[in-house]
Amino acid sequence: MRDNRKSDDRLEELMKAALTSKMEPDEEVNRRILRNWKENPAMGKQRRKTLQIAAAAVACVMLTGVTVGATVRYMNAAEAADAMGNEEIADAFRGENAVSIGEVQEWGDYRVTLLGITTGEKLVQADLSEEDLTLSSTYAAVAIERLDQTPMPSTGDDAYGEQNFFISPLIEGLAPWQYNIASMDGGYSDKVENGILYRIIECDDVMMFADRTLYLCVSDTAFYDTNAYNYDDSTGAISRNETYDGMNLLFTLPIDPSKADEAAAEAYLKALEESQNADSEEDAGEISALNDTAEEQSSEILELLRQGNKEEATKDAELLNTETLTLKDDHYEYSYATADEGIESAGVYYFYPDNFINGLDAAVDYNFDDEGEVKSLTIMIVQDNGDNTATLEVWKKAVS
Amino acid sequence: MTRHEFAELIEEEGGNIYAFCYHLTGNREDAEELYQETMLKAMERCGKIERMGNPKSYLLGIAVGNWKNQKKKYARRQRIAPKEHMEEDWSFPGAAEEPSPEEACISAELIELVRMETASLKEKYRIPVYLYYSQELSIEEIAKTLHIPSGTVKSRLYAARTAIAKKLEEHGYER
Repeated sequence: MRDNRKSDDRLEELMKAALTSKMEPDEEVNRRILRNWKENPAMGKQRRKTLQIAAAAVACVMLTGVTVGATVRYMNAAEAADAMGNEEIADAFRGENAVSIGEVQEWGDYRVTLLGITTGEKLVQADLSEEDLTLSSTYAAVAIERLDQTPMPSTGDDAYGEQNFFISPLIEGLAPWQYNIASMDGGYSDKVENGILYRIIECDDVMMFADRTLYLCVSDTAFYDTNAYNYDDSTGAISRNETYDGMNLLFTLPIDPSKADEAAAEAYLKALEESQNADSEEDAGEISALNDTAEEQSSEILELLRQGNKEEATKDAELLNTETLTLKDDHYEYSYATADEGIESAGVYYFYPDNFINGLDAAVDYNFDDEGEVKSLTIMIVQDNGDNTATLEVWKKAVS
Repeated sequence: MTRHEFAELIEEEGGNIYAFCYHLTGNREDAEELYQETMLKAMERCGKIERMGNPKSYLLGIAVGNWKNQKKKYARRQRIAPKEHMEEDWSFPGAAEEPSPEEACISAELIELVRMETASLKEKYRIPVYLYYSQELSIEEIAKTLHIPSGTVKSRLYAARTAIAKKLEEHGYER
C-alpha cells in the first residue's frame, strides 16, 4: 500500500516535471493581437465601456460643491458621480441609503480613501442575452492619490490604466475569488480631478448580506488575486495577507445589519450559481443524456440476448468480425486493441461457460468520441460450440 | 476592459496559453496561429472575461474550442509540414539552475518518454492532462473549462495516469 502511494507520488512528480513548460509567444504575435484592439468594432459594445465613454465625454465640472474640513482636497462621492456625468448615481450618494465613510488607508506610494457607499436602482441594463439577477446595485466611491503628490494620469493620457486597481466588495462567508465584482455583474467608472483618481464601482446589490461582515478590497492587480487576501474557510473571515508583496488594502464597510435580507441573499446566490454554471450544466446534461441513451440501449440488447433474440439485438448493427475462441482453463478470452492504441480501445473480456445462458454470453462496450460522448456500441456475442471452442461475433451499433 | 488591461492579461497569461496551444498542435507555427485566434476571440468577449473570476481558464476554454473547431485544418497542415520535435522548444523548469534532488532523480529519458506517451493519448485524456499538469488547473476548473462533469475529469486523469504508468513499465521502468 505504502509502496503504491510512493510510486503514485513519483508518477505525479514525473508528469509535472515532464509537462511543465516555459514558453512565450513571439513578441510580434502579441503586438499583432493588440493592434486589433482599435480596429475591432465589437469593443465598443461592452457594457462598462458605455459607462466609461460617457464619463470621459463629460466636460470638466466646476468643483463648487467641494466640502470644507479634513477632506477639503477631495470631492465627495456624490460630486465624483456628478463629475462623471451620472446624476442618478450622484442622487444615490445623496439619498437615504448613502453612507459617508472617509476612511483612509495607505500602501506604498498610494493613499486610498473610501469616500462612501450606497445602494441605487440598477441603471445600466445587462446585455440582452443576460438577465439581471438584482434590480438594485451597490455603488462605492474611492479616491486614489499618490503620496508624493504626483498627479494620477487622467483618463485621456496614454499612461492612464498602466497601474491597475482592483476594487471590489467582498462578503464574509463567500469565497472571495468566486464572489467579487467580476462575478457579480460589476463595473467601474474613473475620473481624474486635481491629480486624484476617483473611481465609482458598481455591482449587484450586496446590502442583502448586511448581517455578515462586508469588505471592500483595493489591490493593484487587474483581477482578484488569491495571494493578496486570506479566506478562512471555517469562519468565513477575509483578511489581508500580510506577506503579500503588493497593495492589498481591505476596508470593512459600516453597513446597518438590519438591511440584510436572508431570503433575497439565498435566492441571489442560487441564481448566481445557476447563471455561472449554465453553460457547463447544459453541455453536461447533453452528454449524460446521450450516455443514458447508450446505457438503455445496451441493457435492451443484453436483455434480448438473454432471451436468445440475437436477430433483434443486432438489428441495424454492422458485423465487424467473426472468430473462433478456444477454452483456456475455465474461460474464453477475447482481447482487442485498435490501431491507434488509445486508452479505451484496448480491452480484454473473459467469458465463463458456467455463466452462459442457452450456450450464449455477450458483452457491450461503449465507444466514446473526443467529447466524451458515447457514439456507438461494440457488441460481443459468444456462442459455445460444445467442443471447447466458441464463436465470437463483434458488432458495431450506432447509439440512437 | 481597457486596452491596457487586455495587454496586461496577455502579459500575465500569454505564456501559459501559448504553451497550451503548443501542447495541442505540436509545433510552433500552428501554436502561434491557435494562440492568436484564441486571443482575438478573447478580445471580442473581453466584457465576459472581466466578469469571470478566472480569466486563465476562460482563455484555455477558448483555445480548446478553437482547436476542436479547426482541428482538421491543423491536421491537414501537419501532413504537409512534418511535426518538429517538441523537445527543441521545451524548457524544463529549473533547467538553467542547479537541479533539485527530485529533478536530478528524474532522467531526461524518462521525461521524454512521459511527454511522448502523453502526446499519444487520445484527445479526451490528453487535454485534461495538460490542463492539470501543465496549466495547474484544479479538477473543478478543468470541468468548467471543458464543460464536462468533474467526475469525468477525475476518471479521465486517472485513466491517463494509469495508461502512462503502464507504458513506463513496458519500457522497463519500475513504478
